[in-house]
Amino acid sequence: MSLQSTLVIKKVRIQRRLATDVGQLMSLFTGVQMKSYGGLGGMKTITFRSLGAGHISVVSDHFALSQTQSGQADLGQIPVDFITKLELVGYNPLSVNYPIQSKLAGQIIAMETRHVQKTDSFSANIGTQFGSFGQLDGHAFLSKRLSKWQFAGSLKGRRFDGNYPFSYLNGQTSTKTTRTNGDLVDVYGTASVSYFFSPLQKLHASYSGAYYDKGLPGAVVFYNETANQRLFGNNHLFTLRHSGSGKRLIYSSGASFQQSELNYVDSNYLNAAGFLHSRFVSQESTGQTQWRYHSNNDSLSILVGTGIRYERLFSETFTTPPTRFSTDVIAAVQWLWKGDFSAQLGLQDIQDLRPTQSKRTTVLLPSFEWKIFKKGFSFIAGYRYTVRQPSFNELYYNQVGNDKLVPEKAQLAYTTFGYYRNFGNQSRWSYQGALQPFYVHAIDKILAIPTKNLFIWSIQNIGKSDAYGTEVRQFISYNKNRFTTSLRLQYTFQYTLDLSDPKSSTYRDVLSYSPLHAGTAELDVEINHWGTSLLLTYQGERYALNQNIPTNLLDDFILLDLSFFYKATWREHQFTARIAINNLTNNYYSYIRYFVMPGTNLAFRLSYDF
Amino acid sequence: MIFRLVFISVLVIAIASCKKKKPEPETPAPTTLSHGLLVLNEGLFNHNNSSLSWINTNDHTVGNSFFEEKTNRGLGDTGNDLKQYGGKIYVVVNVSSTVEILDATTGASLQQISMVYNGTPKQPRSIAFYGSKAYVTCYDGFVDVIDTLSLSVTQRIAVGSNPEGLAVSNGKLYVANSGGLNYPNVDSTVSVVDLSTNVELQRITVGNNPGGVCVDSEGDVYVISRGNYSNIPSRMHRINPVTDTKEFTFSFDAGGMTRMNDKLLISYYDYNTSTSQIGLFDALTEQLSIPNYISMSGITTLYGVTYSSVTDKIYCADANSFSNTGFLHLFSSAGVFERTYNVGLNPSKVLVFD
Repeated sequence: MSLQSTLVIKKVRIQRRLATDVGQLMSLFTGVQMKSYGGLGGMKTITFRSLGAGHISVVSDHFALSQTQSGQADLGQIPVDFITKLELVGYNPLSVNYPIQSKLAGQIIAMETRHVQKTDSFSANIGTQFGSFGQLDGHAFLSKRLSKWQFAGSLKGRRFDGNYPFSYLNGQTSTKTTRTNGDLVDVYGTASVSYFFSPLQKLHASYSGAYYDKGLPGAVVFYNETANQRLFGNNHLFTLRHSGSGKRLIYSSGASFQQSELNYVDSNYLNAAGFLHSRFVSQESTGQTQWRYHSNNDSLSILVGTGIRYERLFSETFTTPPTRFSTDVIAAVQWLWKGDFSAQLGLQDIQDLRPTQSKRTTVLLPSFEWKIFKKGFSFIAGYRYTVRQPSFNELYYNQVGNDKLVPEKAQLAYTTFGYYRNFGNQSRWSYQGALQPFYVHAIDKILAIPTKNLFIWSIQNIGKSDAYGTEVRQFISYNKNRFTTSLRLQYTFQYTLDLSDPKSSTYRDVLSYSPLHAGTAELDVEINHWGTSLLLTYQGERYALNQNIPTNLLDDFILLDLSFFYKATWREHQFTARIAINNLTNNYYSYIRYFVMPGTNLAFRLSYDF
Repeated sequence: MIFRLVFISVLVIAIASCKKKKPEPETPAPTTLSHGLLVLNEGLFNHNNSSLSWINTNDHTVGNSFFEEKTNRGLGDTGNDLKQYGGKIYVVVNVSSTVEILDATTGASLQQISMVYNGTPKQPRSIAFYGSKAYVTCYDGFVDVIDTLSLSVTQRIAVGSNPEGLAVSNGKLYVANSGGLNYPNVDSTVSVVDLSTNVELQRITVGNNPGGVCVDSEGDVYVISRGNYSNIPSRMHRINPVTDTKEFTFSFDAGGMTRMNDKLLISYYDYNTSTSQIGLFDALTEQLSIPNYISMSGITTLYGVTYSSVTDKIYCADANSFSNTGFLHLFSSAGVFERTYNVGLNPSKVLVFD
């Protein structure tokens, strides 16, 4: 556990969860509310301290994943098998490891995979996971060092039937049925090559490709269980990055090209053709460079950087493809005097070439943070101003889009009070605790409302909200010989109020899907080769619509996941067998109303590293 | 210092946690339906929260769980139409693809007809009656014929694409073919169905995106074409039921029509300005005699208008920005405001029980 503004989940903790995608790990971060639209393979997005997914940049191996079309990344499509480190980055302006556009976003979810880790000579991993509801996946990773070169490749494939039983309440009647059209097949692969000019300077190139085809089971609709919608597509990402450090300098420069194809098919659509097939292709090209200089004694560091992005969206809907050209400039300073003071000033210039008009937006994005650490105590105070641009869907999607939208703006203020201590005989006990009050004020929130009729909604800049709350993290661990145990408690209290319209029935009501209380408790025990892990997840009551009336209230739920593992090591070889029993109490629950989640389910995982 | 801040934070959490709104007690549904109003609340797509509200017009109490209390189950997703015919109440539920039939005396459920055909939900929209049959427009391009005695679908009549409103005149059924799911290439026709043979006779071109259909006291048929919500306005057209030709297009904005004796109440909600209006149209002189017949102050989102000859009252359903529980505003037939009731989510249709 970190007392910094960055929370880290390392590989060991990731693997204990037997998660099949990154979205399933998000509840382990305080302040993050996950929205899962239905179990294994289903779409998963997050909000952080009331800021929507559009404010969150998802970064993989130092490159931001494209969010051109929908403005948000589907964390349900990102595999966890090759991740060595997963971070929730609040503020880290002096790092050259995150893209500039991400550092200017409200929050960063950053992943580092084995592809960017240095291999001594040779490393490999092969594994499989299988379990309930027709879950079967396999993954393999290979990395080879040849002098100054390093080659790596990884491949992951998974499939689910997705037909899981569930129960729901219809009036006073409880109905048990089986979810259909929740199947998934996807393949994800990466090839990378690194060239080390020196131990401190490297050139890294990679290609990642993905293909997916999945059913969209949608919400449970009373008396109508038909679901025929499907989503399929592919993603391609090419990256090239040069990074290094010298006596006074740390630098990185990179370029990327991403293309995503998304196809939505509804074979029951009641139009003249008898079906609906919408195809979208989005492209994003980026280039950027960041340079950090630090003084002789590291007391002063300065970072400057600039980046450009060029995004386009192709579809039959558009005669002229919507195009966006963005320039990001960043300047940051860190001064180690009476603590650690850092500040960042970003300049973002966005030119939208819209079918009906061109629009240019230039914003200044200031932020700062001050930290002090003394005798195990720490204190952090920070402020940020952040904006999110409307996505291409919000601007242009059929009748829903509104090309007059302006960026959504938010101001964040936060503090952290932390304490760290090792104690006991030979300092075998370790304790970390943190309390993080925060406040977020958002205006021009981009919301969908009916503007033509109830069935034809449109996107408008009408939202305004205040969110305040506190995150609490507690961690205690004990180590002795080959016995380790740890307990993590994480709790988020968040009170998010709708301030959009004083005349509205929902004025000062709690925003939909914003539980006041959420948290997790993780207990891990490891003895010799054996280990067990218990995860308790709680999500409090929340409203399905902004109006805070009983009929909109969703029940709270507690989930209990239990896993065991056995690890055998022989020289450089390691074999691990894991079993997880998820939702131990067979709780029927949903994050989003009527997007039901699976009951008790099992997963087995075998993994071999050498 | 830190422990003090921890204490304050815990206190704030504890206080805020206690802020929970207590549910208001529900007014129970009556044993027999009299002296009251039954209101259909559409609910919101994929929320399964369509409902029927019962308003007791004696003591003005409101219960929003009428259907659930009578059946122990929910009405479903997106209720679109509510009508009484003979001793039965028919509720058309669009996304759930059902027609719910209730006893008009007790409100008890008589039948639920599933409107799923060959694995495809037919998405029923509106209902009309003639003789012993009920006619239900289905978005798959058909009008389903329901026998009102056996309460089952006996026939399907092919019409245009995505039919919406329908009405009966001169032994014929007039069906508005919206073609809404082919946007921007929407339909612009009204199907004429011979009710003696249940066969489509012809299609009359009226204007883009036809929606509501209404018949006046003389049997003339009026249809509203909703345009494209942009540069093609929403207009009312008159069809001659003898010649089955469009005779006239009126130049005023029109979103809905409600017959009030020899007149029509023409309602219109402007989605761009979020303003509503209800005009009085004289169906005998074919003139919009009073453009602003009812004051719209206090109405946020006009979503449905009903007139009852039994009570001689006008009922205006207010969807209150669509995602909040709505209101039913009661006016005299002269357009004078009388009372407001808080009902369910997106109220649209009203039945009056004397």
